[in-house]
Amino acid sequence: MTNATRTVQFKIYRYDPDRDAKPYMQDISVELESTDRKLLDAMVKLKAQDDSISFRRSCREGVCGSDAMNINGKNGLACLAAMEGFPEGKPIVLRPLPGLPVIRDLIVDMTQFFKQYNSIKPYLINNDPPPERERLQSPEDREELNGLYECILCACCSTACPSFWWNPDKFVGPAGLLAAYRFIADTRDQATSERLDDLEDPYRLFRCHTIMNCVDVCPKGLNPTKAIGRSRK
Amino acid sequence: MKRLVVGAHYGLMDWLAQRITAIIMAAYTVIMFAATLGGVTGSREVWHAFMANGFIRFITFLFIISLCYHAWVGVRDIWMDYVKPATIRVTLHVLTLLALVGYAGWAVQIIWRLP
Amino acid sequence: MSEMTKPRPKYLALHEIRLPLAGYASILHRVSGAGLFLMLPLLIWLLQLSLGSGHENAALFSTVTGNILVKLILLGLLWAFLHHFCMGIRILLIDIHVGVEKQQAHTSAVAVMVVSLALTLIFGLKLLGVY
Repeated sequence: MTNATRTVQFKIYRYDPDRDAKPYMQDISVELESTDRKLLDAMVKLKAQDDSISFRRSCREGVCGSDAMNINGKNGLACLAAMEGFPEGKPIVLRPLPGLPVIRDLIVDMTQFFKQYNSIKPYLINNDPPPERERLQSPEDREELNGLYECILCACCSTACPSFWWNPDKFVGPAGLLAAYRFIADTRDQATSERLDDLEDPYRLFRCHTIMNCVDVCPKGLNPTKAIGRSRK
Repeated sequence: MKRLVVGAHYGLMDWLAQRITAIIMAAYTVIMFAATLGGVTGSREVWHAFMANGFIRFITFLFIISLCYHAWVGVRDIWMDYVKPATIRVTLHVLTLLALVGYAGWAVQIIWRLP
Repeated sequence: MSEMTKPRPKYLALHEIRLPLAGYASILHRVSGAGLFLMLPLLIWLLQLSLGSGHENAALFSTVTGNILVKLILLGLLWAFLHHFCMGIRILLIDIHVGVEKQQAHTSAVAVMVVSLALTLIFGLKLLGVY
């Protein structure tokens, strides 16, 4: 493999609350090697060049969900976005996740998002005394949780959802509703009716208008719309 | 800290109503568009006779009621999304409701008056 | 974050955020619905004129519908209705879990756009009195 370098242009959303009255877009370019395969690799190089650029990152392999951002207009994880997938000669535009308060540059305040996640009680509710080992499920019952439990709470979906943009305080959002259905579908959970009752409000579950932006952006290929549809049943 | 109150229990009911009225209107639409292609709008006489038919009158009535209910849920959703101040929102809800009830009455009396 | 000292900006420049086609079809569903609602009085009035007896109603009906501006509005409403209709069927199908996968949702959104425009053409020509 050659180690030829190439220059890649970026346009990055910058905002430092201590210095900037308003956010602005910064043009910056970086020399990349062929080993810089993902967008996150390029961003690490950018950070080395200008250490004031702020973003969250951790596992760099699509598991932690920290580096969710708006990449060329579409939400995604920087660590999963392949550099070769970007059109050549055009700057890569990076902005924070839409609709959440910006703390600095690409870092958003996720409080509202996690509040909604907490509101659906994201834990097993079962009042039976716990058995000596784990609560067992049949393989078929366990199968029901596939496509639900994998969510990494990166917030790509909820911040791509217009219903969440307009009512982040009242609408649970796709991530929260996916998690809600994860527990509704769990045969070990005993609070199914309470959970469904709790979603009955016109704002909480029924603000979903089947726009399906959430399905489009999920970096894990999950389908909140499907889970929402099942909850309504 | 301001507490947020959610917990109204008409979400499912409205959602279902929106679907049921949609199905009624869709069926009516297919009938009416087919009739249009069949030539019922050819002349005023044919059109009047067609609309005065008992069955057509009945389904038109159903359509009007469905339309107004459907529009109520849809327009209310729009206000719920974009209008935050509660007093303005409630005012808009009331105006929408009044308008739709009025429209329904107006439209129904048009078809009911047919000889 | 309650301890934040300064109100933070939110990034929400709608023209810069790229939506999937289904997202735009969905926006049009809302726009068409709102347009139809706003134009309801006109439509009911036209219904009244078309079904009213006597020459005055007939004459007024042809004058009004003969107006080019009214014709354009009606053409727009026809598209709005048909788009709302097709998109509605798509949503009803997704409600019963038909076409809920990502690729299917995209294909059905394309279908909604194409079919509603095609139907607008077919019935639009009728509206304009071509056949």
